[in-house]
Amino acid sequence: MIIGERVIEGKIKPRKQARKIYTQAKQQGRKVSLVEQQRPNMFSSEVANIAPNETIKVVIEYQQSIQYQNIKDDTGNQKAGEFSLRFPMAINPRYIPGEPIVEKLELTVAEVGRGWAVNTTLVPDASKITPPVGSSNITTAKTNLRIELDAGFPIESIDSAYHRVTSMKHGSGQYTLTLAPDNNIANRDFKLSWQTAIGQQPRAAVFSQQDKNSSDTYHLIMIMPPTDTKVLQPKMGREVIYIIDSSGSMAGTSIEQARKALMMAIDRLSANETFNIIEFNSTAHKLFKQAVSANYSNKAYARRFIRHLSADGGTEMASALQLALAKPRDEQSHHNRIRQVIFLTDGSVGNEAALFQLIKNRLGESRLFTVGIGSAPNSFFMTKAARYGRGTFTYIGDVNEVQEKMNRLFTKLDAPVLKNIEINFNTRAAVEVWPKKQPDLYQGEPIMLVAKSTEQIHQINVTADMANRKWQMALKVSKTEKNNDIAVLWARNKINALMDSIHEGENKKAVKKQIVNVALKHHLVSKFTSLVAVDVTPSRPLHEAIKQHAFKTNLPKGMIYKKVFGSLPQTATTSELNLITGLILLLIAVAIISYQSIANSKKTV
Amino acid sequence: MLFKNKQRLFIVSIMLLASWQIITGSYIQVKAYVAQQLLLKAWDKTLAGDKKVKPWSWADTWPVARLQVPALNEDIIILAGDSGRNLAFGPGYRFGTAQPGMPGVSIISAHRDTHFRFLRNIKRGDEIRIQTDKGQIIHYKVSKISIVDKAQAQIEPVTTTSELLLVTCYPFNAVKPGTRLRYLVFATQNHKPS
Repeated sequence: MIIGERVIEGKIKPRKQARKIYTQAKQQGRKVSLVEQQRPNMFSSEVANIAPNETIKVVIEYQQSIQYQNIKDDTGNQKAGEFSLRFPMAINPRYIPGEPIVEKLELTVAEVGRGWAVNTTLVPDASKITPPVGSSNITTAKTNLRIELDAGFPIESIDSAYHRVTSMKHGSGQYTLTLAPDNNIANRDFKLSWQTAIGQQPRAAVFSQQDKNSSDTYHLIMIMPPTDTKVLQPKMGREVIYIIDSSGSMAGTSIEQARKALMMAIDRLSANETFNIIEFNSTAHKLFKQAVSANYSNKAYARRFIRHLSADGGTEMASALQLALAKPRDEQSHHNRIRQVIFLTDGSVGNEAALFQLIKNRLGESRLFTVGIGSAPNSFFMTKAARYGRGTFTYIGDVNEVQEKMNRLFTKLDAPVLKNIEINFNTRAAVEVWPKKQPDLYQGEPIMLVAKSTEQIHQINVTADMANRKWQMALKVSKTEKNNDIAVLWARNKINALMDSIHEGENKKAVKKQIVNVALKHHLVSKFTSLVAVDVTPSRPLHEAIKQHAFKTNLPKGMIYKKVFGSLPQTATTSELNLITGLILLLIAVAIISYQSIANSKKTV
Repeated sequence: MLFKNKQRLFIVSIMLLASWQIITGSYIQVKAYVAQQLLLKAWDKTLAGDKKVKPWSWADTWPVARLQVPALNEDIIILAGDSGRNLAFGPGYRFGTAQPGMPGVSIISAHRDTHFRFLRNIKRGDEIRIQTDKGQIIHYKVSKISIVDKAQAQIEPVTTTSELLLVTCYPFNAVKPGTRLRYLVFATQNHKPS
């Protein structure tokens, strides 16, 4: 916190304590600022006792890792590497489900935020995550950005996706960028991406840092798996099991879209891959007894089956999962294959715990990818099931997007490159790595990890399985900087993993204690710790009342309920059409009969 | 004689086709009506404190509210979720939209030829009552009626008041289903009902 010439350094404190310090200082008339985390991607800050016409600056330092991916040209060859950074500048207003909690008198001010929503049973902190929104034509929040980019390699091109920027080049990979002055409204995220020259994409990178106060070293490691199409031959084999929910709730657009997506998935399979389809509603059944090769006739058979899928009945997931995760008969031949189970449903389940157990026990070498569609899939179950299943969860809120989003998932799953990735740090010292277990790698994805070691590391070895051989790579750790950026990144990753473990059923109290310890050590704001800075001398005479208001955010650009109508259900039946067709046919029949009887009566005359 | 038999066969098949069409058509109407009767029972249980009462044993939806329009003598039970299957039984409440009585827009859809047929007679200023599953009655007043192309329509999701949006297909007397137009009835919470 900067007041005129004075700088007051903030301290990380456990959340409740920080809030108490803030409230107390505020009452005593002292200048005070507080930064709290409301969601992993949403923070709020408060400043109290600003004198009229006075400026107080609050400086917050944060770090973010940059995304990296290989991009391909039209022929599928690796073209270049692309780095990108997304800086959030707007908060989408959220819908707050649940019923309002009746505020009790003993509730302190601290527990009620200043948002537009009241706390509800389902979102007990709704008032804190719904900052007031300014009307769309008056701009309140403005942003200035100045970026000093030091890429470390020559940059081929640099691009800001949503904002106009002015850029100045200093060296081969060094730029200064600023937002164009008429383009500084904080109503959409800022995205900057830059590309390496062709053939210059990095293969691997290690950044190491030495802790100032101990022998701990921290490492950020990125490794690109081989990208050359020749090296990647033969392709890693796959067995793909599709599970499709055909219960009644899928009726209409959902099942139609799911059918289309499945059709595409079948088309993509090549003859050296095997597949099966499991359909479930009140019961589950397999299309083929065992997974079969994706040859012409099997595919044709599957297509016929998909065409006739209709939605009816209940939602019995357990037996479907059991069928999908049953041990394949010839497990040996699966050694060099990836077995993907793709599970598409819109349903909710009551017996979550039992299903998790089932996935844990039976997963083996399979990977479970869950796809939730419609507006009310059980996201908690699906996310966690995918995590236990070592796969990913895809959420498709708008049923009209099923085809498109599934296609994206299928494209990725087409090209597994590495599995069973092991990292060896060649040291006896204790090494703590995040993420704990490396996921399988698909084409274009890098291995990313952050590690902490109690002693210096000199070399890192990576081994993994490719289609028909082992792949390995050694990385030398040479330069060690005296800095703490990577330590902070490591701590953030650790906190994320700990937070996840709460959702997975770990004891909340114990985990909270661990998080507080890590956050205090690395000076981090987290769900359980806040940053508070207090001035020593009071600046507001206590007889003067304090005026308070919440700063309005801008409505994010394009934030209108764009697609809701497109996704609303069809609101007419064929009832009238049926009735009218029926009546017309009846009339025709009567007409023919009467015509005949007239003709007959004429004959008799 | 042979000719006559053929003709008779033709007439019989037309009659069969006709009755099949009429039965299918009426079945939809009957289903819509009978379901509402069962739903009324489930609603009573809901008000008595039961949660997510299934109106029939194989249902995967439950009643969430009761909608009344006194001026038109309408009284229907709203279901959780607006999937195509639910709409055969009653109007569907869209998950994720605001709960009636809370700030935001609550969206309810139904078929134009069954449960929401009455919307063609609703007027600005008409009263709409929503009874929540807690028994609380929220009064709304129709504020706007509009017809939109479903691909182009937009609404502001964030409001400080409680808004109700009833959606059905348009035109009401179109014979074929699947039109692009939607009939929207907006209503705003009325704290001082007359």
